[in-house]
Amino acid sequence: MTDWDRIVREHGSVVFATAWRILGHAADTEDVMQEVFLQAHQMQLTQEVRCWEALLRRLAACRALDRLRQRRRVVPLEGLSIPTTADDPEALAVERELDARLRQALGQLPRREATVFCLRYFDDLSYEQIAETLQISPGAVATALHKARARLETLLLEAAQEK
Amino acid sequence: MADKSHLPDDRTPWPELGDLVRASVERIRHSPPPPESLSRALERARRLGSPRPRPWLARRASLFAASAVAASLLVGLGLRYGPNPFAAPLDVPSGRGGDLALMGPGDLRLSSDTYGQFSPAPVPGGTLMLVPGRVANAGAPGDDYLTIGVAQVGSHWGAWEQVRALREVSRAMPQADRKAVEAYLRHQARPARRPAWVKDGRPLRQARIAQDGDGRELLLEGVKVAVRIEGPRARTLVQQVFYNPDDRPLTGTFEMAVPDGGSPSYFALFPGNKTNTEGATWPKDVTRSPAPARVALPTPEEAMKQVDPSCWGRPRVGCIVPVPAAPEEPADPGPLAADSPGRARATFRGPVGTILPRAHVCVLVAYEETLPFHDGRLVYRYPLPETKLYDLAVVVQADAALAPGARLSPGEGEGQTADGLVTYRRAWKNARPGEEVVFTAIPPSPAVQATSCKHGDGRYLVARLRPDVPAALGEAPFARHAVFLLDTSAGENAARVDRAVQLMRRVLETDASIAQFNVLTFSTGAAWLEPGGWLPNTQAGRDAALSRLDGVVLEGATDLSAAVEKLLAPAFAVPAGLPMHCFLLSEGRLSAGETDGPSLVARLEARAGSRLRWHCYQLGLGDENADLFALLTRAGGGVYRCPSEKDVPAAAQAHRRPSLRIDRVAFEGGPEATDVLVSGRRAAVYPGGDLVVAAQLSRAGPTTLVVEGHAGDRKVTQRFPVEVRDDGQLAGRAWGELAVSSLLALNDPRLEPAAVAIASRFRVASRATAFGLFADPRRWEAEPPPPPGHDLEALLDGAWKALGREATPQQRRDWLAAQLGHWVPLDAVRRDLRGLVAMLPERELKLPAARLQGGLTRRAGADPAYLAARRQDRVAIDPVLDEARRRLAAGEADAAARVLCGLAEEHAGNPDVARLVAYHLVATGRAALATHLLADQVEQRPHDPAAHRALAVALDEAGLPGRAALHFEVALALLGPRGGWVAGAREEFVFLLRRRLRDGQLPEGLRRYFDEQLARLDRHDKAPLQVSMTWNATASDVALRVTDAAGKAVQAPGRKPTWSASWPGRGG
Repeated sequence: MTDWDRIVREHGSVVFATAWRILGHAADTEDVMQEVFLQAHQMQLTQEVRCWEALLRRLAACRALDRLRQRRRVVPLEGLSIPTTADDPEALAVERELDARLRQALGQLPRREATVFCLRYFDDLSYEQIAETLQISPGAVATALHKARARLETLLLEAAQEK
Repeated sequence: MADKSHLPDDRTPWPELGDLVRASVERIRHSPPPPESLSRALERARRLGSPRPRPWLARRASLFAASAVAASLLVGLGLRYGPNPFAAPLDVPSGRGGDLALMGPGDLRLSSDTYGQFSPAPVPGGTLMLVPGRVANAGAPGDDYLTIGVAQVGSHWGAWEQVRALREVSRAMPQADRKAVEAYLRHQARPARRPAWVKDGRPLRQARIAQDGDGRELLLEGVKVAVRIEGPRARTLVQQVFYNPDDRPLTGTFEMAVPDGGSPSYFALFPGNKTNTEGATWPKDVTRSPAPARVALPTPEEAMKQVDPSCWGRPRVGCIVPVPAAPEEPADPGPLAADSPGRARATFRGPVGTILPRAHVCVLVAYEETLPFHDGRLVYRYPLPETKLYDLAVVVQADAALAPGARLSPGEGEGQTADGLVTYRRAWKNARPGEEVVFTAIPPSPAVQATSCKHGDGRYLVARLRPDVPAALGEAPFARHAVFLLDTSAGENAARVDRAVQLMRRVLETDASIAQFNVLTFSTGAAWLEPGGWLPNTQAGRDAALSRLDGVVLEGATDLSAAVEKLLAPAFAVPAGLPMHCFLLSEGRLSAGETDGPSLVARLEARAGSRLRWHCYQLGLGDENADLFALLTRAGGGVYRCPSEKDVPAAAQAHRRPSLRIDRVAFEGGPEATDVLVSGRRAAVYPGGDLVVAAQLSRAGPTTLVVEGHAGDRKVTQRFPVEVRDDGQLAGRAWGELAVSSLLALNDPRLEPAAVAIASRFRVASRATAFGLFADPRRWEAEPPPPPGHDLEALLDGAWKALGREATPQQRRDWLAAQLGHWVPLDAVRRDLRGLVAMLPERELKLPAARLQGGLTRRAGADPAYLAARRQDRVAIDPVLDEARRRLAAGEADAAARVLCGLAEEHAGNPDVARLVAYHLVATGRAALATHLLADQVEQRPHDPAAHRALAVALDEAGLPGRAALHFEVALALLGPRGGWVAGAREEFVFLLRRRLRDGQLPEGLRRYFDEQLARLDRHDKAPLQVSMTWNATASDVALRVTDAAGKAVQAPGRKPTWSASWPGRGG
């Protein structure tokens, strides 16, 4: 029988961190976490889960990217009114905007490319680990990653020019 | 191609990314997740519980199709019949609720266009507010409308609440549609009941390191065990070598089963080194003495120093840290803790960080325990691994005085005696010699086993005494009256209640000394089975009593304090000071009334003295009440097991054993003794029982332990000579363990700093402390918390007496002010609220008394549909709510409250259900009872604004406006200016302020405060009308209110008011 407590204990933080990096928004991340575990909980009723980490990480990345796409013009409440003690508030604001733009651009990538990019650069997974997580070949990971980088550069450049 | 390393220190900073992207990626990677949010999300995920395998689901695809059709049907029905939240466009991610505000004087239309702009989806809870007028801190002047805090409400709901809400919606539908909805809802997941007793699926005999992720275990290659036995204590030092066969680094969790009463005392892990991938170098063996000329086995610290870090990596050493403080170093993975320290088969577990690829890992772990004493022998056991090991060795070392008659099995060979120690050795290669290693020895004196040592600046002694309990020949029995306290709450199991009744009959039949008896049933409230007085212990009396228990329906929460109140102040005449046997027949965790065991027992002792002798029975396998039972029986009586019917005859005789009541344990002659502690604060001993005593002593030398007490009416004094020496190792920690457990047993937060200080000094893991792993433990150990500067005996006695006293108004005020520190994170808000606490009138400092008339519900008196539904699904919610509604309509408000409280018991730990029950209790006019339930929720979740808001509502209804204002303020502070449903909470607060100011019954200080708050919060005075619609997160009933500028309700259009919407002073 599945030791659910143990699964949550061992992988909960990873799931949360994966979603958090993609979304950067606490409430959204909590919701994604809930969706991921609910889905995993239901999945394991009907099929055997061989690698919980891979499954949960994959679900976390996919659900977070789904949420990112749905965001449209919703602005996270965090960060809007929090006074900063940073030395250079302007630089901080620019950094935040760049991070938001990167996330926005990720939401415009095809799902596989966005997922691969997030797992590689946000979660620090190797090609082999990404391949195992997404159940694709390492070659497909490399291709998706290459495309993701190229598309992101284009999207960010376009965004900068529009500005 | 060079090997890629995934170690953070070796990684190159992504040269393939452009500068901007790389900088953003780095920032995002290093942005820490908000810890509160993470813990909330983890808790929610845990609540899903372990799924039950339901393979039929995989086969019945048609069911899914049917569910999908039903779901579509439901959405359609919702759009057609539902109130506005369901009629809105579904353009926002589902599962979220929120507070919405619509501005614009005169504009009260709810068109789908406007509503859709900020509708959060078809959610069953939350608060929708349509507020004409300016909304504070939101938007710019001239905006037509704007949103306030859309989001975050969904995070407070459970899935079942959504089901419940959909069912509520369906009540307004035609019969056929309602059936369709029911058909759909039957497929929804139900909340799993929290099991009373949890056992791991797989027994853990040894330690293991399981990889995070797939749970695969590292290979256990070798185990060396060094056991040191001194007096009644033993320390087991285990050295384990694991191997990571993987080609990549991994993170893992260490787990180890600790035996009955064992307490982890040391942990160090060597994570491996690239130079020792083949395990060519083994660590120096813990079963060998550190120096050739020395006989004694190494201490854990010495064993750690024997392991070469160049072969085994830099060690991570466990230091005691307060829970939940996390270790400071980034590499440190988190604290290791025993899940139920001191209890049977506790598991010591925790994350141990990164393990290198293809590396051997060495773990040193030690635990200490008091050895059991059976049939005149000390017994030590160590479970052996389930599989063959490359290398397995066990060595047991004890005082040479134990050598005659000592035996170590399996294996042959006598012990070697040298330097006053006897040492037994066993070693195996590629073998599994048996289930366990057992060492038995006959101590020189069965009456006392003691050991002592010098630890730091102090000398400590621990002794196990076995006083002789004289037989009570020809003496009068302790009491001729007996009260059976029978738990009839919903959490009880029918089979166990049946056994309890059998046991009761058997006790009465076999104990002729009991002349009269009565039965006190309790759940939410308590009632005498025979309210008129005692029943004779005759066949007729017993039959009369037991026949009244036939057909009882188990319902309500477990409120032992209600039973204790009745016991101390019975409705019939009982002579003052009448001694009584009290037989407690309950398996349930205390869930209502006074839920803190120490407080309950201390007050009971303060009022009843020693005239009540408690006999507690463990009728099942659970040990939830072990601490409570131990406290109740510390001065007499006992705890007896009766897990099956065949145990009933023996259990029914157990209470008749003679006992020795302990009045005093002290040292006589020899060195001065301080901080004398008795394990479990025992004040009575039975034949074959023992007392574990520990103390600090001023110097070495002979002394005598004196036990004074009474056997029946006879005074008894027994003396046990002991020798205080400096050459032991284990007594200091034994004293520390006893001190920590004594301090924590009182559940008094003021004693926790002292417990943490002692635990740090003696490395005691407890509920207040855990092992944090540090690469450099000196950093942590350099500044251990200061030890308590009190006499521990006096501190414990004072704390116990204080627990037994009713708190003064000032103490309650201080407690409330101190709670603000836990509830509110912002200093400025805390300061303001302290001012509010200071002006609370005395009557508001204590929660209102909430005693229900107890009673029993019999099958004949309950709705058959309710009974049938409960038989089918014991945790179903709707049948209970319907039954409560029926009882309320029949004028049985207390019975309605009782059945509602059973829900909270069945769904223990679910805050949503607790709030649901509380709201319905308010609706039944039992707001005082609701305040207790919700105050428990606040205690469990001090940072949950929903808990504070619900408590505030109940307090207001219970007539405590000042206290209600306090919790509204806390809820608003926790939500922040833009939090979810902040507008709803603020509006409720404004209603409260207005109503109470209008009543004109507030004391002057509070009236001024209310005035100020109203001026601060209320921005809608000029609006002609105010419309608010609330569908609270739990009951999910919709209440639509239209109020005038003065806050007076003028209309409640929309849905017909439902039962739970008709709160006094609220709703339409």
